[in-house]
Amino acid sequence: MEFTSVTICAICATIRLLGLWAFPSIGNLLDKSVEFSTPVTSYRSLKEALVLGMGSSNTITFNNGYYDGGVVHHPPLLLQALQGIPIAYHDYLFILFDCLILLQFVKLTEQVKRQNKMFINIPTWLPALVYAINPLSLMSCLSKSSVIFTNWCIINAVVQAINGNIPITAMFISLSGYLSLYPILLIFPLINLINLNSSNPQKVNNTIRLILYTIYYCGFLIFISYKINGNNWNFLRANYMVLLNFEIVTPNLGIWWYFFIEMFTEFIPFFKGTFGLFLLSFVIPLAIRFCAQPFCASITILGWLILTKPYPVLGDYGFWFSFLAYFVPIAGYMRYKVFSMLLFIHGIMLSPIFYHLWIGSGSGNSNFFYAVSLVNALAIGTILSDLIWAMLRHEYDGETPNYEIKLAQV
Amino acid sequence: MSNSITTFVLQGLLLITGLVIATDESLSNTETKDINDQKFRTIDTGIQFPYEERLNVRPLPHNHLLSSFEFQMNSEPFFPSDSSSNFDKYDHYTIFPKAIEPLLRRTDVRQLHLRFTRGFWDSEEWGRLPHDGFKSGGSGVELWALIEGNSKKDAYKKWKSLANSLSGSFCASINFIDLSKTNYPVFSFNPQERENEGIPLFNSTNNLYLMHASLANEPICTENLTPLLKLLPSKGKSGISSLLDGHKLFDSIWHNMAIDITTQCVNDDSYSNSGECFYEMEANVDVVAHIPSILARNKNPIPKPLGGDDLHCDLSKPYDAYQCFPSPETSEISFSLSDIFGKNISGSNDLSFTHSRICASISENWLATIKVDDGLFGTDDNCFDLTENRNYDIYMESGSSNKVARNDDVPIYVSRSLTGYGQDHGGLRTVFSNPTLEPVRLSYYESLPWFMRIYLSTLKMEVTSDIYQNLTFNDIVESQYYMPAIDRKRSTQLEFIMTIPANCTISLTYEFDKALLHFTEYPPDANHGFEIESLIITILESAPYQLRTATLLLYLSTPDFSMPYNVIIISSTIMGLIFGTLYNLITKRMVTMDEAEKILATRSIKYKVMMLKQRILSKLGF
Repeated sequence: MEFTSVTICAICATIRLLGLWAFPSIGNLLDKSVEFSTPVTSYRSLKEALVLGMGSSNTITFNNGYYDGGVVHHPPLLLQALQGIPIAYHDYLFILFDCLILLQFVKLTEQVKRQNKMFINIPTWLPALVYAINPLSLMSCLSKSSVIFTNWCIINAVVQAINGNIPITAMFISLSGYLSLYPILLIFPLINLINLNSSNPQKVNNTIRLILYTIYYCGFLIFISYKINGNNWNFLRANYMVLLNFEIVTPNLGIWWYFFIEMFTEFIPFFKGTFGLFLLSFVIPLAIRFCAQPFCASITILGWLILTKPYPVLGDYGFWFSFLAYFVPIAGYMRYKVFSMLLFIHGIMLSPIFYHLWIGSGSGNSNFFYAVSLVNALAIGTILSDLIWAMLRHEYDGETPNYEIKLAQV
Repeated sequence: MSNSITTFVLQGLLLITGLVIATDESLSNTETKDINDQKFRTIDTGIQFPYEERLNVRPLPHNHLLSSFEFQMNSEPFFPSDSSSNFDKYDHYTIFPKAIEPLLRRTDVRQLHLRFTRGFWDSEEWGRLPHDGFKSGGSGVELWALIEGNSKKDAYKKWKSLANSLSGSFCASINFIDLSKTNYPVFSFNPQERENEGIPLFNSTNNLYLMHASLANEPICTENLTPLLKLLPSKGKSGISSLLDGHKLFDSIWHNMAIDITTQCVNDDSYSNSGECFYEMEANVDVVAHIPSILARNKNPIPKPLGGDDLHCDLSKPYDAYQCFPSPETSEISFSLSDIFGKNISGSNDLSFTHSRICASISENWLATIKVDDGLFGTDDNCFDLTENRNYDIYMESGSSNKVARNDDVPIYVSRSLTGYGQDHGGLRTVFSNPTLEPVRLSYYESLPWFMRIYLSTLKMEVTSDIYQNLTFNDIVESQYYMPAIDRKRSTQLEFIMTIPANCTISLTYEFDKALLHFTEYPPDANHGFEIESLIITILESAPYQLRTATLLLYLSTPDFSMPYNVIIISSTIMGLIFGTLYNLITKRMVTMDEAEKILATRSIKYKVMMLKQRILSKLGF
């Protein structure tokens, strides 16, 4: 069976529109669930900014701009852009962005197939279809979590990097960093991706250009934001210090929240540093170790960021799982496919139940939800280690897979 | 000036000593019981101080009694231009509390308002609050002050110092007022009056800063009353303040203690720094008691079932030795203030220009008489001056106690409640109900703690009356001030000036998220919840009135407080596990099993020992 990109877009939009039509209040409901929304990505804080922000005609307005308070954590350019779109159309805007992401997935598959023989057997429509019918990305779209804009920037950056279009890659990777900080770290595998088929002197040249362009775009975005924000730097604190410092402790699927609730006050800064380092720790090593497979390295690094970032949402997971479709050719090497998937499903199924037991009915306590976040971390960890193992095996075997041979590491 | 004060005081001291000698003789053949109390009194001709005290008792429906104590005093005049390091004069406090005046000088306070309130004022039954609500606070402790400072930071520093000092003087947790609890009201607490009344600036380069904070979960107890009594010149030993006793005062339905200090300058031209100023202090104690239950407790301190003879059965229903429907509360009542407060009034105060005065605001079907020693006397206006140093008591009775002197109705009813369930989200719903035939213009002052993350984009207004169906929020709100909270640093401050149309009920709702705190930030009884301070409504037009809603109890989700070590260990284990696995994967070499076994074999201790042995043997030549 073949799907064209138009068909997949139609499927994607239909499912989402059906969801909207059948459950009109589902957006609100999902926006309030900890799995799909965090203080830094939630639609209700976005809406608060749009309704009470600059240039709004509401009776109540912020006296000192968006960021003089603890509710708004979206960057000024995003707010400015969304200000132009009436709130009634936002549902459709998010569906549109999901379709744009889909189209990029189709484009990406075409390109990687052309670039690397390993992917030749992947149907062009597969990753896009995974994204379209994946319940996680579907619900994330309905919850109108702003993570969708970051994801769109990331996939554009990857597509442009494979194209070798340095300025556009730099622009998109800066944008994704501007929107939610951590994706900027993907620049390391993207450097390899751009340099994949270039000669040595060209490599240095490309790398320097990409880095300089990224610095330029980041500086430009920050400066424009500074101007838009009424010559005030306070958006930096609201957008990025909140992430680096983990200032808002709310339950989520990550590993940070309970650790810092239960941490003794004196040690909080030390462990925030440790967690920050933990997040950074595997980005560059993975990029270096798999410099010959930069596309797969990007996917593992994306997974690593989802595992270690302070405010992960299921929207991130849905996006990442679509990328896992590119591992289909080497899936034969994976050792605990079933185990890790079951672990993940176990976590996903139990998280709303345990959350309700703790918060809603009060018959459980916080340890229930904490256990779920640990299971999630373990699931992502297992999937990551499996992916890396498969990449190592692929590296060892070359083009001809040999499933018989037993390998070990020393 | 300081010289004249000195001579004045010296004269006063001479007079007092003279009088003590005189009264000692005259008292020797009268009652000896109160000699100690009377020793230091100036009887008729003594010096008088700017001090006044009054007690007003007012029966409320359903056998409740409101007693309002009022004390007023002024400080000695002083010149703002005199610096405190000026040693030419010494500070001199007559009746003004020594604990307060240096504090006011040190922190540059121009106005200070402190409230200790607990209980429920039933405005639908009892009508307006005493003093139109301007002397009562929200449940807990409330403090606001007007402080002179050269910057907001400077004023906050003084405010913090003031709070810490008051905390010590009043044995209350006022020292817990910090950045996250302090607000700077914009529309409320009549800042317009600040300009009109010309509250003096002692240094014309400074500004006045109005700061407000409340501690809704503060319990009010005798340890807060005793410091208040100590501020009075009579120290609770004579005059009407001798009635105040912690055991009885706090055993009430609603009680309120208030201290208001203002700076008054005689010279209008206060900016020239030459005016003479003084502090005026008012202390109020208001208490509502349910009389029958207090009388019952006096009679029977340990609750016991009533005997059959003491039961009042409803005669319209069947009753016999085994069944009895209790009759509705009796409307025949008689009591004395000593029943209510557990003490007699011991004497008058003789410090002031006027005598201590007790007034009863009663209707015709009530009778109020004063009991002096053993005689009962009544007056036409039901007001009694305490002129002599005797024991006084007020006796009141009524045959139909439900008919009371009608208090004016409240111009507006406001109530606020929490909506929603669960411990992660919630909503606030405020209902304004204007029963009058005129629109009411009011200011709305709400301060919410930072752990309520409010979303004003969800604000909705509902109108119940049909005539006002098309009313929108914009129509009723004139101006607004919204300062969103910052985690751990600032609370939300929301103020409106709005008009509620006549005969109309309006409800405002909006949603909020509940934050999770660090485990050390929870109070010892975390599952009790957090008290949210009252909403303060001030009626701005025609008849000024102030009212506060009940405080709310907000439940926050709690972590498991026994888990710190477990969480550190388990989370670190998981992180270590993942890190270790990935680290091994990307740093180790891929080899086949056979190769791996060979390599591993060369790494074993046995192999190494064997190799060593071989080497040694080969060295030895074997």
